[in-house]
Amino acid sequence: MLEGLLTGLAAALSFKAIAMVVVGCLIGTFIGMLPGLGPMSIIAIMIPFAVSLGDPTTSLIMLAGVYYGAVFGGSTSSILINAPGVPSTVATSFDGYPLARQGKAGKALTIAAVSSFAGGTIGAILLTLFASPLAEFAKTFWSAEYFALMVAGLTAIAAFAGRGQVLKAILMVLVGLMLATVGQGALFNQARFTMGIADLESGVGFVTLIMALFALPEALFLVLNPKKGSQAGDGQDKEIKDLRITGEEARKIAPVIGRQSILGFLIGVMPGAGATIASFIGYATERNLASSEERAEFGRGSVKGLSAPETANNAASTGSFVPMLTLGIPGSGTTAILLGALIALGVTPGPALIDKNPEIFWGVIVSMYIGNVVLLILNLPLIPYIAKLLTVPRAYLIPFVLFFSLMGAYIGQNNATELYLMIGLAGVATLLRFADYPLPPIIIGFILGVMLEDNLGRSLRKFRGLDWMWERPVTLGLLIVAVLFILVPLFSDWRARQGRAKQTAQGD
Amino acid sequence: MASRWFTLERAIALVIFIIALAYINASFHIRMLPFELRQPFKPNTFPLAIGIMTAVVAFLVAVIPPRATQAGEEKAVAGDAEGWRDFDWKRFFIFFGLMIAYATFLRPAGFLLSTVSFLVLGSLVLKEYRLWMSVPIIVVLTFGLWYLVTQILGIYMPAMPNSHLLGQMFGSAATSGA
Amino acid sequence: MKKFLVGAFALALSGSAALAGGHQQVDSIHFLIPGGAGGGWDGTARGTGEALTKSGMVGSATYENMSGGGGGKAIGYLIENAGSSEGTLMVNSTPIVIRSLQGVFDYNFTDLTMIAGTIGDYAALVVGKDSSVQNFADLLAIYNSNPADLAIAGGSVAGGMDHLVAALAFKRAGADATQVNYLPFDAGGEALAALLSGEADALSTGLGEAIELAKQGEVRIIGVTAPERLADAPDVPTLKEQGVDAQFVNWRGFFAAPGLSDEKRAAYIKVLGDVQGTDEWEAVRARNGWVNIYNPGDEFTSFLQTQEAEIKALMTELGFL
Repeated sequence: MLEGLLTGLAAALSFKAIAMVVVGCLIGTFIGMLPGLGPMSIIAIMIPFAVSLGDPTTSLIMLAGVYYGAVFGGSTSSILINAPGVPSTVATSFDGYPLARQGKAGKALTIAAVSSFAGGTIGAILLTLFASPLAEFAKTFWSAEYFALMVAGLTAIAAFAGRGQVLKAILMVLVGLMLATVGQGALFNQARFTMGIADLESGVGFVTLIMALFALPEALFLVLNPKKGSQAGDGQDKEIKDLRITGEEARKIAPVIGRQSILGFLIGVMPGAGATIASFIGYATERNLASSEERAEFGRGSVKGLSAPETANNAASTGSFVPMLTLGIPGSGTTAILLGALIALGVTPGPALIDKNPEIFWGVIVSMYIGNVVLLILNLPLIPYIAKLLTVPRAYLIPFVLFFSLMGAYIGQNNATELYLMIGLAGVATLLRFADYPLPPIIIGFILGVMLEDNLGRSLRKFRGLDWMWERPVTLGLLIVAVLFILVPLFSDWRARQGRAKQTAQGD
Repeated sequence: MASRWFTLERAIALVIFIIALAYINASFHIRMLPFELRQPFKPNTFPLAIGIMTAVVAFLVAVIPPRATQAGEEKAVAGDAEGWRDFDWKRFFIFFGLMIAYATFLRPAGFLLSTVSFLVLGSLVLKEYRLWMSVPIIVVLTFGLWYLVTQILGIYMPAMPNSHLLGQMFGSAATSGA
Repeated sequence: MKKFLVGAFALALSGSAALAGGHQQVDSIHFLIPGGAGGGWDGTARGTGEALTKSGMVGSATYENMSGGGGGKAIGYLIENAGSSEGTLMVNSTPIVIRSLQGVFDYNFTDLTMIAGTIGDYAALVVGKDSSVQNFADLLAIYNSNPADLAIAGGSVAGGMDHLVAALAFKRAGADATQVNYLPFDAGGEALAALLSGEADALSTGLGEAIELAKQGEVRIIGVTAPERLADAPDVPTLKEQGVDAQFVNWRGFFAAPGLSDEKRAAYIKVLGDVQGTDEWEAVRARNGWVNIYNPGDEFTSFLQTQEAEIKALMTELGFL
């Protein structure tokens, strides 16, 4: 193995390769910030260029740079303007955007960068050590287990179900599930609930919904509230750019990074799960493990709540290379495209890859290490400048955020109907905010809804009943975990309140 | 704080309740293929389940009496609902209109013209009257983005006005050139 | 159908004798892509355009993504703006036939001018390496004893292409094709994972998706829908040689606006065929794992009519329509 790593390193440490990874990271980061252009489209666009470089290792290293850069770029727009361009960075905005709103954008970006780096690197180490046994592990997952995994992911909404809000949060997640059933799915022959609108055949677009729920209402709210606008920005200039993490914060996020690198990686290994599920489950897990006071911060700017999904989604992205490299199965849209790139380079991933093309196998792994390191080195100095975007005068910032959000649904689609839908939904979302309805549960329900129904439907077809829910141990275990995720915080909050009530009673 | 019983919150829950009923009704009318009818999991199984749950929860939110809010309790989205009377609703609706106009003109009038107009008008509404400063910045940024997306990334985005589509928008009189 | 396929492969095989750098035949082509950037149609159009321009046969190529309505929006646009769309080619594939039959679109694909089918893939029935099933007869035996015991995964929707292919095979083998226990997945990769995990007992997919794993011994292909064994995969048996005359090809090709002039049409047909002999095309083809199936002009039209009639009969019988 060490020999293999050294082979890969030798191939990767040329001047050209390093130059290419730097170029790749920069391109990825900047294009990744544009909503609507996720890692998948950026890699698809860059493949012809990467292939033209000739040497497979150099091409792969460049693509790895683009990939990690694009993932980080997506996190940037989630944190700064609440505009997650891809599903896997939605959970990042839950706490990243509140932090930015408190004037701690620089810090939030640093936590994101460090967490991404750690998740990606630990993921790469796990990939180096355990690729083959993990591939066997991935094969034990059926639709039944995926269904249970999605249920566990749904519990992430608990963070938005504050006191007196539980029913409203549940209502919003149900609305998200309803939205997910619109259009043509994988399971059934006809498009459902399109109300005769042809553009709904393919469903409500992710970018359309996320911009309508998150970015547009934020920007419109700044339009509505002139007072809020005038204060922020100026005085906090120093803090916005300040990227230091305090020792206390570092102590808080270190165990989160440790746990989520492993958990995220394992979820990423499953061909039917991926980075988005990993980020939601990571968020839900850390919220449950946190102390009662820390838990209250989730959704309001918790450093743990930011670090968890950022670590998990990067570790999962790395994990999704396991089925691709060892089984030849693309576990995600991005790895499907990378698989195409590998084939273009004359390499066929699969069980024989390690023996037949060790330099490629190790080249991919080494490219991950290098991509992560280079991205961190490049981005840390850039963060103050990226964060400074927020200090742009509002007369420019607001129209740009609106324009940016609209572009996200339009770029590469050229379909104006999506824009009308987005504007209409943004109006609805603004109303919902006025009535204190939490919006993140809608998007959680929307993203998980499709997978929830597909996996449930397949399991019912396969087993002709519901027995699998208790007969398959892993499914049962995951479902129990999901129930615990809901009950444990309720119980511990109740205990905390009892304790406080006793104290006050004694104090009186 | 004298809170009336019929709040915006309840009104919205009521609307969702009605939507859920319509959704349940639509679930019964999904056209199903013969082989789908035989299966345990039909195209309307999941929709019916969530539709009914939505209706029940929405109904509960609409009718459950308000809890006496204790002091010190935090709301999920703090402060949004307060002071809405002071808000600048005029600007809000201007922006809404601007966005709709942008969506409508983006294709016929082309990306460059629509975007520059949208951004300049938007900044004017937000009291940035120094056009000698804002216009060049906006033009450069818009063109830069267009160049990046179309010329470097190779994604199609029509930049220039399309007389044919404009003609369709404003009746046949303008289409003489097409 | 059979004649065309054999001819197509003969052409594909002889195509490797490259006509290095042809001269320019068409000034420019505007590709209309009915889906978003990064999808399969997008890759086909951009790859074809790349080969056309790099080989110098076409001066310049532009690309327009127009998603919406499962591809119906672009079809409608091309028909409604036929007058100004002389220079436009729209990419499409087998699902246009299926979806037209289902009445999903406002227009039928037959309203368009058919240019040529360019690339394609045969369908394959696949089982895991440890499966007891060795050939199609074994699969049929399980199916006949209890269809519910045979979960067949595929990467397209229930009632879609992969489902149809499995049903077609059983129907041609004389079984009741309406009982297929089909597990639909979002993409071919996920369906393949379900086969390896044992959730699915068999897999219906494109040959291209399964061939590499079959070569590595991870899965076994028990039949392809080609008329005869393929040069690229001589070990893979066809369904036909096992006595089941199920033939199917999933094509990708190009369409133009209605009322296109004959000479324009002829020029497009020629350039799409000629390009397949160039090194530039070969580079793009290899990168994407495409199979050359050049199917020009009127042959393409009659092929589509045959395919439409066959699929229609099958879908009607299966109750898919």
